[in-house]
Amino acid sequence: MCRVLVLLGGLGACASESAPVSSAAPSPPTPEAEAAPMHQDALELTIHTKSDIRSVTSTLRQAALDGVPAATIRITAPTLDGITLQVGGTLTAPLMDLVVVGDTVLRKSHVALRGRSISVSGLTFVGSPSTGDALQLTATDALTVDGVAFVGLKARTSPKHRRRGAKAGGRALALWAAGPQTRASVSGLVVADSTVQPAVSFGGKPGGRFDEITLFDAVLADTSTPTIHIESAVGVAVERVATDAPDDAVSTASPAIVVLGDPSSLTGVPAPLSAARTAALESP
Amino acid sequence: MIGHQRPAAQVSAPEASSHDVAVQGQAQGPGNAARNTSLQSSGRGSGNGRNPNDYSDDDGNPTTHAPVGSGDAVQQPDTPAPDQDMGDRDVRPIATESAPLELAGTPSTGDLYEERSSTGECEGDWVSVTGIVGSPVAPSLLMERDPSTIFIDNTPTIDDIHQGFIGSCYFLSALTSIAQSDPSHIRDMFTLSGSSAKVRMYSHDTATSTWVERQINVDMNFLHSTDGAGGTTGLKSSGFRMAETPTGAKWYVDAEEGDLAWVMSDARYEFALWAPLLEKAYARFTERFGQYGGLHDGDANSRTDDNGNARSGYEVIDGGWTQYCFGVLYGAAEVSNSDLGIVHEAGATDAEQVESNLDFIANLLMAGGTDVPDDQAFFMSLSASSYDIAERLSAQVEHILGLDSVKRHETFQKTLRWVKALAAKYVDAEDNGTEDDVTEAGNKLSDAAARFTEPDAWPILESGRDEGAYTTLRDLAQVAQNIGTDASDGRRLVYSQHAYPVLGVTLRDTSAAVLQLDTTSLQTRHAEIDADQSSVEFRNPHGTNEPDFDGAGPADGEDDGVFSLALSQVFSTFALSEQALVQT
Repeated sequence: MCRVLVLLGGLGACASESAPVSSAAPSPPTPEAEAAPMHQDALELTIHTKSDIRSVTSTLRQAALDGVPAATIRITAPTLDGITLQVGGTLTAPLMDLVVVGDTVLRKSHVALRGRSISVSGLTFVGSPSTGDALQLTATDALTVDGVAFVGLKARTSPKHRRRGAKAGGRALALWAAGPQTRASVSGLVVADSTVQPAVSFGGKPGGRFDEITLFDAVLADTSTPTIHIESAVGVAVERVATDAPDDAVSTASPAIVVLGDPSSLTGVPAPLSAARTAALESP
Repeated sequence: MIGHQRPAAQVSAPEASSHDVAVQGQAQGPGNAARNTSLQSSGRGSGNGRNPNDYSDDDGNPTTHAPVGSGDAVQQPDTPAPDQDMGDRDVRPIATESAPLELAGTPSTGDLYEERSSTGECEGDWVSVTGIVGSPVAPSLLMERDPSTIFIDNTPTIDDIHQGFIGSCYFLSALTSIAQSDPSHIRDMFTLSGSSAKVRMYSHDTATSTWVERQINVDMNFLHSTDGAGGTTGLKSSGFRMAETPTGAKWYVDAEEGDLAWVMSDARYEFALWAPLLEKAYARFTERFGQYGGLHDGDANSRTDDNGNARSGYEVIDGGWTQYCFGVLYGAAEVSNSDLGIVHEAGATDAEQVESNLDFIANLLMAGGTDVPDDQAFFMSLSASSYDIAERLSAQVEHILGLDSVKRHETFQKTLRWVKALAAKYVDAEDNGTEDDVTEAGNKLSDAAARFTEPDAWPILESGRDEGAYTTLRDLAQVAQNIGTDASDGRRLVYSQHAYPVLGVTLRDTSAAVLQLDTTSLQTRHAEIDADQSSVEFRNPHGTNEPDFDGAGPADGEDDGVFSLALSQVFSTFALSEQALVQT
């Protein structure tokens, strides 16, 4: 929990100084939504520098066309600035199981992955990308996000034009269900010092719906509310989610987490951030 | 041509009849008094409940719903001025206003009246007149809407779409794509009933995750701006096109003793009202179901203002995402949608830009119909935020400042640094400032960027040197130049914050030969693509305002909003593509 403590203690500074929160918040086992299974013939690719991204995405595109079922992308760079990493952007292309593992701070960057099962861990996003969500994941089967932080993602003041109207603003984390029973597990999530709204969204693509969402060990601090927007899901389980939203407003329809549709699908409630802070301090 | 036409009738009935949609025009000739009444609002207060909630424009002036006439069309048919044959004679009308000749074509004179030298005393139906205005070839024309249709030739086309003064480009971009690839879907959305229409749209039931069909009732009155004193000042909603030729006309002669005889043609024209009707229906729909039918509410404009009061649907639809509109328009027939960033890296070669954007190029191919099954349609819309443009302009300047070719151009370097600083201020204003800060920073950046777009001001910008770094700078400056304006008449490329539907793509190699690629062969043959030779075709939802590099008008000479950009320009000046696949 030490890095979560760093975030709680000095949100502004941690954005540029702290290591990513990949090792923060140990995750309890979640048999319903495990990380994407690794295949024997899975492809392994590494991003050492920003210049690797072009060849990595091109290789992944070829692999998908060749029927390779799965790929792992390891990001070894400690910091990357202004990257765009997109996989599976052609709507009719074959889908893969994707795993992205990093220990990396991504400044003003956009990562968008579309696949069957997707797992992302160990990334800290600092600042909003020019366009789009910081991290956008679309999966037919399962989504797993573990140890991912978003810091300093600010809502923008766009110019007003009477004869235009295209939007570009993005979220911190957008999770899309593209299958009828997609599962999502988000743990070790930090959203801090951010005014994008909602910061985190769970939504359904056409024909897609989350069958189950589990969200645990998350800290939502100094964010505009609602921070998390859940569009549609059969079940939403929340455990150990701390927020500095007003205590009396923390409920199934709290400003911190909004569940559309059937709010009763939500089990568990966010806790006031003060309690989380105490728990964190008492943690070894 | 309107100036030569017969007076117009401006009619006010909320429940419009065939005469409700009439020419706004000039009072010359008979019959005005009975039909020339002032426009009245037909908003929700009219009792039929077929308009969105009341709405005031950005200046605080109320808007009103009113009928439209040929004078509101984006262009009127080319019609000759009525002939004038002056001199006393007797005429005997054969076709009269009470018993007109119904005809689609041109009648003969004998079908309309008989004529003889003046006798000084008329008997029977003969009337002594002082001259004849109009003829079968050039009558005194009253152009009315054909009430039986909202399409021209029963087919919606992209030419029918003309964005007004609501930020609905994203929605009209979706309609453009549908009109191009699946026009029958638009026809099937409408059920006309007299002077109103039912429009089929879909809301989303989050509990069951299903789409629910909705029928939105709208009348044929459209949103007009006002001067604040009760007078209308023109259409605020989307505009429309009218047909070049009438579908039919009532011909007759209006002759009064001792006055002129008028050869009249009350001609019915098809008005392509489907696009403004869909915009209005969408506004009504959003008041009840939300901007995207209940889905994506986190990205939707609020249905209530800061005080919790219901907003007008016109405010709800003001700005949005194209990809989310297809659920509202297709319901469960929407197969998928997505957004994709368009990668541009200052200093990268064209080949590298192509490789970075293979998925995007594959989507462009699909937007042109490649690899799309016969029973599906693929739609695509591109945009860039002003923020994107400012950041890209800044990065391009940074790249150029590092080139050897710029070293001896000191004044140019100073200008580059100045523009870069203003671009950074613009980015900061969007990140941390107020709307006024953004406006001020945008205006300053616009003015500075214009230094790079003046023809021949900096010859190096036309040089094509250093992998086109300078021409890319000029392109970005063309876009940045219009960050602070809304509809410039001068030099422009594309507008930021504006959605442009993709009509097609042509991939070419370095010899300009067309490459026949599909989404799979693209992967292995992308090195053959020359991004400068390849082109993407768009249509501005404005229906005009095409790129105009020197302020001399559209490059193709047709001011219809349709234009092409080199693929390399698309990489640099657009940042986001939205796409959707639907079952047709």
